[in-house]
Amino acid sequence: MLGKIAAFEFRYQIKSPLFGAAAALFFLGAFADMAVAKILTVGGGNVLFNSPHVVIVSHLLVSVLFLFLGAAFVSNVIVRDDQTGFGPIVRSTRITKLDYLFGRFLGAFAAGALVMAAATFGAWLGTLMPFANQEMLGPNRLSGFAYGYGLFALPNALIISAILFALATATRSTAGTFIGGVGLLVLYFFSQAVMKSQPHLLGFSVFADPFGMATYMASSKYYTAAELNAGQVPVTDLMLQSRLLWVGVSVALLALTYRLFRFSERGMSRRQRRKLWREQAVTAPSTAGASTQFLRLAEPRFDGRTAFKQFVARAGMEARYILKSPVFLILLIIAFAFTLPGLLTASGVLGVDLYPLTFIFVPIIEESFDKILIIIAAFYGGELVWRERERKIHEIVDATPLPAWALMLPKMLGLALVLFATLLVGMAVGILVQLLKGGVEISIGDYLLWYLLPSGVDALLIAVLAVFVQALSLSKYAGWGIMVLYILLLTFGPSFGLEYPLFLYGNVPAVPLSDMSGLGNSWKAAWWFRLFWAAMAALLLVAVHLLWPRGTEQRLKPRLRQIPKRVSGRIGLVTAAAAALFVLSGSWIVYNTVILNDYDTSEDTQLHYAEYEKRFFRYAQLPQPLVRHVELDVALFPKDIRAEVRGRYRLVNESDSPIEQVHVRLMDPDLNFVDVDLPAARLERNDEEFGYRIYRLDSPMQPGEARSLAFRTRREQVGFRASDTEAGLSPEATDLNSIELTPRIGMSDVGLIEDPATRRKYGLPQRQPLPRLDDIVATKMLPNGDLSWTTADVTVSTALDQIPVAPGKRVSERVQSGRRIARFVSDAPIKNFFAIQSGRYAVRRQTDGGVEHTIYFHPRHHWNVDSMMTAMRASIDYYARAFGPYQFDQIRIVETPAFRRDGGQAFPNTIAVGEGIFAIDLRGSDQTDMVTMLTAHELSHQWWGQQVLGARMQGAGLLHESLAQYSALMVLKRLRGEENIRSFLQFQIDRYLTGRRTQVLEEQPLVSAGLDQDYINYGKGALALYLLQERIGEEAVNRALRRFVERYRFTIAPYPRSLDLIAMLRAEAKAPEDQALITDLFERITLYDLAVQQPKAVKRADGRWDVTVPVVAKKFYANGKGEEKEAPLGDLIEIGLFTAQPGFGAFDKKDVIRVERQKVRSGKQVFRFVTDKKPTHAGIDPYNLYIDRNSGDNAGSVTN
Amino acid sequence: MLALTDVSHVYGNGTRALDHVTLAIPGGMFGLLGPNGAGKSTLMRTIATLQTPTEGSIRFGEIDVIAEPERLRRTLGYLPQDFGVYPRVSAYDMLDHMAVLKGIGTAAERKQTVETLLHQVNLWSVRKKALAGFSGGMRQRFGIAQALIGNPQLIIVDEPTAGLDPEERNRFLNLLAEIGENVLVILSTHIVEDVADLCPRMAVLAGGRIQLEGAPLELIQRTRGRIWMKAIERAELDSYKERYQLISTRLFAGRTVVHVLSDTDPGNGFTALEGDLEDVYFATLAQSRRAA
Repeated sequence: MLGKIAAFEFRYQIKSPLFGAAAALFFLGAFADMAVAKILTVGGGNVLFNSPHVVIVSHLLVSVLFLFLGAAFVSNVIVRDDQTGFGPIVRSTRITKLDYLFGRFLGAFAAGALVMAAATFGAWLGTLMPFANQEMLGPNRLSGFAYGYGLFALPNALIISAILFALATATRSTAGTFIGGVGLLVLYFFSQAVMKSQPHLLGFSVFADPFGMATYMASSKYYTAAELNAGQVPVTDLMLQSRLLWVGVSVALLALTYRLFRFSERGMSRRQRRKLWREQAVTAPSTAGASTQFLRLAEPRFDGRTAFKQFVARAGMEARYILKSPVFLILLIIAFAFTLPGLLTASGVLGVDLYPLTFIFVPIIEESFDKILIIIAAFYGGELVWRERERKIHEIVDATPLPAWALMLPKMLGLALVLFATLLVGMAVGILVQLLKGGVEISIGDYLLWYLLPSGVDALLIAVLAVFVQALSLSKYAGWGIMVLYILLLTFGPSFGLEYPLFLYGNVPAVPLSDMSGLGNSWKAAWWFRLFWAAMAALLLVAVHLLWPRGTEQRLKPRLRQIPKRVSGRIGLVTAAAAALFVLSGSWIVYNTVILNDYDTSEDTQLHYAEYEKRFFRYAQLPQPLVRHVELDVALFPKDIRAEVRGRYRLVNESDSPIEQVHVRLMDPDLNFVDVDLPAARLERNDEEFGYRIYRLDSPMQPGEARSLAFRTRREQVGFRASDTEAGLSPEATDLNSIELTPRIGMSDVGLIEDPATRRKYGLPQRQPLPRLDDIVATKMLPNGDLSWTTADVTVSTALDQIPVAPGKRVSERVQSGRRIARFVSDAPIKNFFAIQSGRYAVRRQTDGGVEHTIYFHPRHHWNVDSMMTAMRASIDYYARAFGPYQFDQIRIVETPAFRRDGGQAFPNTIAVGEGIFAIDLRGSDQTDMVTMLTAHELSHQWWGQQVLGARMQGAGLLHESLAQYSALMVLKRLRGEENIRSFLQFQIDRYLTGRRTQVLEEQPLVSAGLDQDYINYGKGALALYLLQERIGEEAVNRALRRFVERYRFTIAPYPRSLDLIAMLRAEAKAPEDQALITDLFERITLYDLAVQQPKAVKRADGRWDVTVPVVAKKFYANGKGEEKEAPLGDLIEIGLFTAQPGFGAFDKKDVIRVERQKVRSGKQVFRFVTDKKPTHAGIDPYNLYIDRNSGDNAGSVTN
Repeated sequence: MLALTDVSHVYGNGTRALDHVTLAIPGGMFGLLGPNGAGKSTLMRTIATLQTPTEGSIRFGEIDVIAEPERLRRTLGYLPQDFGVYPRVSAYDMLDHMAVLKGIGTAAERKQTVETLLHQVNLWSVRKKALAGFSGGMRQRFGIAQALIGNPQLIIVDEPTAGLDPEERNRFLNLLAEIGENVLVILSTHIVEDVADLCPRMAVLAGGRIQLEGAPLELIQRTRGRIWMKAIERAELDSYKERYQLISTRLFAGRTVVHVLSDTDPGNGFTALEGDLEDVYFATLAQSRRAA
């Protein structure tokens, strides 16, 4: 009996359109993800798409999606009989409760399991496709699919189904089940996030994870690509036990459901009774009323007023219908559930909290709500168009004298109202969180301009399309299908050559937001596109009007025949107006985005750089004169989005051979030459397309000889663009660097295509690898193109109400013919790569030790200005004493728009810092002080990069970024104490270990890391130098760095290598262990596995404590691919005894009983101590200074 | 005056639902009688501008219905055979909504219209209840209420009494009778009594054609002396079917009573019958079947 019922249920479920749609979606999604375009980039870097790990993670994600789907499947089992009214018939048969309940459950669960399998099958099939990315596909391993489906997807289907089944039985409503499901998901993410920050709960959090997702992600985090591609499956025994436990829990839940389920109809709640009273077969006396006399009724009138009333009444009816429907509520709850965590944890580039600024919030809200808006528009477009017919009320309504447009337009308006209401909910969530977090002004105006209006129009465009499609479609489902195709096209079209926004209905160029520059320069383009699509939407609406299925005729052909009858003068007028607008705005857009400006697809851009390389890379080795003095006159016209530059370079031949050619080129395609004047030279080649000029000198430049080059350039955005909109120069804020304003001398490989696959695609030779450390010639090359030392004299003029900023001493400032003009002079050497800013800043200024410290910031972003000022002063003070004198009399921090940069960038005596850093919210006590960290880091670049310039070769990152990280840590230690540093080091360990996974290039030791290997240069560099200063002392490290600066300050070729720094560090290391540590930290890829095993404390007769700390230690050397080999360990590592868990919560110095550096070797060993106080915790390397993938077991509680 | 000339309608699947229907209806109650599937609803919908006939013309007074459906709709009240309602909407609100759609723009007029009608169809006491919970009769009364909004000159009611209990039906027919005094009401039904009770003029539609048209009394007159009746055993029925032009059979007190059409006395125990409208109707249907 059970089997038969289950089989019936299974057949019933798989015949439902929901099953078909879900299975198709899962199958196609998984297939496309594998074969067409990787949507879920879960592996990262070189992790193969079909490695067991990636397959498992896809299954995990699919099974979370199943939560929503399962709610529909499972609740149907319970709710169906009551809804259809078939319940009493079924329940009066001889069927037992067990058969009924579990037969149906099994059927529904089997259908769900089959849907999951569709994803498995789709992924597998995708791997076989010849058009799939073969480079990212390895051999198909059964283990991935077996673990993914067998251990995760299938048990999750069971667990989710059981939970939802219980929910459905308890609530007896689909909406209730959905809401419960969403609640579960929110609770899940929240609890896992809480437990993540409590490493001692690790084992518990594995067991508390019903879906296995969070724990799998955590345990697989630090596996390298090599390990994962070799087929390793990061599944632990603990995880297996947890899965078993949850299968058990779901069986228990089913048993509970069985107990709870009442076969007889259950009593109604009060609310239901009231509802019933309102709705159920009420009776009215059917005997004749008192008035058999027929009263004269009001006569209808058909004028504009009535038409308006009709319109309003219809629109209200449509909007009410959606607003009252449970699906709408569910969609809103889902959007809410996804937005809220995003807003609550809104964080910037460094993973720290941000102030809840509107420009930060709007993109987060958009991301969650936009999909919901599209779904509402598409879904309710179908519901509204088909509603009258489905409710069988169309005959009554269609026979009324309602004008045709008053049938169709109100549906549009109703839909628009609902979409707008949804947007308002999004905004309300945003404002709610803003009020909750506090600290910012709430600006409804910003929400209106940044969110409500643009998103509202975009949603409306989709609503029009949905109504159009449905009005023409022969069934609601077909219409929905077409809308799904459209949404897919909208998502994936751009990667298949439909990048230009005019190719896809409703596509509008993105508008990045910023408090400083508002909508920047992009809003014009966006609104022109919206106007264009609106005109098209109007035409679609005319078509809908003409083809509206009024009456009982469904077929398209008779409806086409009725068109002439529906055409009227007004329709003609609307059509003509819309068509005219369509053509005009379309032409204007094409004129602006294609003729006035270039539209570059990403392929065009790559093609540009490929061609650039083919034409000019051959000149990269040609000796070129250096720029030794720069005179610039930069006239900014922010309102016109234009900059006019006049400049003069003093060129000096610093090489030992004569120079015959001078190459003058523009690196930025948006910059144009107006004029170049190089006396006594002939323009030998003038490539206008690429802005590349080659001058042949009448007489070669002899070594040491100087010449003068004058030039004029212009940077301007005329009209609007659909791609590459000017971001550096806008009416409100300007931030442009030398490359964006001035020509460069000589060719270099900077900015050329690096990705190997792209290079192959465009027929470029394999990239010259970064010069190796033993390539002495490379130390003679200029580090980054022509970025050598120069002096500068820069005049900037800008709008009267803006403040101009350029490097150097501000020697004059005046107002002339309505413009503000300021002159800046740099006598100390700077790189010929600096920035010029202009904006309406608030200014904070302090002079300390003869150095003027200034912060230029957006007036509303004042929160971190004091911290920055303190950090700035402390940094200059510390670095000047530790590393050598500061070369300027001034230091400036200038805030720049968020879309320009999200972190900081060091220029000569100027640090450009994005809005995201100014918005860091440090009010929470556990926040790492990233403001101080970033300020100190960027300021140290005035030494590392602005005084000492490393050769462009392997290991250059150590000389710039690793040293900057170290310097900042030392400042942070002085300002905030060591506790604040620990969380920062944790962040770096995570960055390094995660980076190893996602790397594309082979991992290198610090000494030879590539320029872009940030996870090594920043992450590992910080850890290595910090550990070294713990070992040999801060003073010793600083002595080495001071010597390094003294030796290479403002030198030209040969430039220093990382090896030169290591040599100076080695000179400070006395003990052989320290020398060995330098080798391990800088010259090898070394990983440690340090763990404590049940430390014990036994009370002695004299009242003191005998403490034994058993320790297991291992050291590994890894190669570039991540393959490890164990190596003998013999190092001095800290063993510590504490009265609290070290490094967590309120732990501080008073909790330390003893920390001693002990000789630790490979394997198991026991350390013994005698203490006065009883320690509660003991550990090896308790502060996690060594790189250890499992840092949770370094310390443990002490037992008696 | 409603005039249909040569109206035909063919559905997409080839079904000829209306076959050259020509009718002239002067005013008052007009009954359109026909069995299920005769094309009644198609004809009703076609007159109600809900579908355009494949061919033919329809005029209502001045109005060319096919060319200017909007004009007819301004003076049309239509109660479809089977209609639904919006969920979660009360009778009052729905009627109010319909009043707006029918062109009663001002709130005061609408209030008067809605309240009058609710009283008229005796739904006043349940006006705040959701329509979805109404019984069949109440729903039909609501349907006629909405059809009456704005004093239409042409009212079309399609099978309004189907599924009503006798009391509800009576009540409903009374209502229709009141209305029919002033305007043209087309009542489509398969229940002969509805027409017999109410309509001074009628037509029988079967197989998409008008089989018979006229005043009921006149039509009954025409069959006088041609209807014969006999009570027989059930087993004999088949042989009677072969021998006589049977127009109806019904059970009465355990025996089968057959009516046959015959210009002369068929003998064999048949007795002459004063035919009623039902006999006329069944005779017409029998003839049309034979013709087909």
